[in-house]
Amino acid sequence: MIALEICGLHKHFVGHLNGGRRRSVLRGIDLALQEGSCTVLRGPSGSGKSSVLRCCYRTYRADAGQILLRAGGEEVDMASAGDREILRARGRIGLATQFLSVVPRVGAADLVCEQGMSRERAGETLDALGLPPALHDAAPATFSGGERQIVNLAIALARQRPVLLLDEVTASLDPRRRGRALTAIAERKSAGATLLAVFHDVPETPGLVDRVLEMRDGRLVAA
Amino acid sequence: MTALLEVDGLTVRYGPGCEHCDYLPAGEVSCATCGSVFGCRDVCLQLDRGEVLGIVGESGSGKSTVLSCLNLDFAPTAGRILLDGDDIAGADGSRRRRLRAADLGIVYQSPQQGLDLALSAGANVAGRLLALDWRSYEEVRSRALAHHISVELAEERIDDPARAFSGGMRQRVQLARALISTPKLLLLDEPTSGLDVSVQARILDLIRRIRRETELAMVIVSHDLAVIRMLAERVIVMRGGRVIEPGLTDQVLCDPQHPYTQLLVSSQLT
Repeated sequence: MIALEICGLHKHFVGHLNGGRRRSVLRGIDLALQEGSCTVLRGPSGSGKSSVLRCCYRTYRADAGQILLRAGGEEVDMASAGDREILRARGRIGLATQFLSVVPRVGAADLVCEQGMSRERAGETLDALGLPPALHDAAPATFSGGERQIVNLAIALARQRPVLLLDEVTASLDPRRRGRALTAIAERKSAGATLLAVFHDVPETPGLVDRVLEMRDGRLVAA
Repeated sequence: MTALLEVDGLTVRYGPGCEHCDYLPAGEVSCATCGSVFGCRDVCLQLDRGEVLGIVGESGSGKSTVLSCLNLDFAPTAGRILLDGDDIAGADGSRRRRLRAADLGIVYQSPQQGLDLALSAGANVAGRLLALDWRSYEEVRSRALAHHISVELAEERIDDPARAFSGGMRQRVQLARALISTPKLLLLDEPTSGLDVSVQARILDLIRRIRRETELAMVIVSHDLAVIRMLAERVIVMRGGRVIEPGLTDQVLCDPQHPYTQLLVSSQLT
């Protein structure tokens, strides 16, 4: 079964503050993700990799095309559905980025608990990803880039969403923690989740990546 | 399913109105022909239980006018406000008082607007219950005390006059007062403006906690996009009394479409 299908996706930005300059970032993306698979997008900076993920989550509004989310419930077009329908659909699709996007004053474990996880499980998840126990109750405002990234990933993995969009989620991690993060992601895949991920260095974790697609100038090209 | 709150075509006009009013240029709020001024025009929004909607815009954009209409401070010139399917826009007299005491709670930017500073914190909080015909002193007192504590105010200060409280504490008293009748809708009008940043952060944390624990629907007006980003999953951007861009908060902030929204987002200091 196809968990997420992208058809003819186009996205451009109009900079009204820059004299209406138009910049195309996606120029016709077609992509189908099989349930339980892991697809990696790679390519130079500015090639549109993150924009694909953001359109799928509707952080960016697509200009043309369809993004059909099928996993976990009724089909929803993330490109055209109403805002309240998108909010409901976001219970089935998660986006994790490399930057912390949460309240920086709330303790790390509490942030994970807010996703509906028990405190014990939250602690275990942070442990597994390599955040020292002394930091579990500390607020991420004081964390290093890598530690923040661990919190971000723990939040993304806390809920069992059928589709996960991962945008450079290991970019700031040291090799040991990167390994742990990739193991946790691979476990989620084994449990049936469908992954669309952006990585500069494609992970070599056994059984994780099913295919790698290359992006250039807003298009998918042969890998 | 019916939305908890459905606002349709909400318009507030000060002045007689004329046929030229329909053709005011974008961003213009006053009619050169008849002199009418529009507080807001054709505002539509929907809110479900447990949802938080943000309203942003510059001063004079109409955001507080919309909130005042929702709080039934005055009746709009046109439009409907459906709360649980009942049109409350034109409610007057006892129905209006009852709706305000039972179903609507509001926190104003200025505590003077929401509280009687000469009265004790407890009396301010309990006042809404008296409006709902609670008569037992013990019951009113114990419920007021429970809410006083729930907004993290010290128990022993419940009989202190509100004027003896700091700005942040007065906002907590306003929150306790708004929540004591378990309203359906909580309205927040710039609840943290003018507070120093550490106090602001704690008030925002309190509002987040209330939201998590009560699943209360909220409308929050703020000119601070960071506050909206933290509290609201949907937002409407207003200018010249009109909604110029509605959307998901993260989408409006990351991918603003309207020229004014782009200006607003790019002007934020972050």
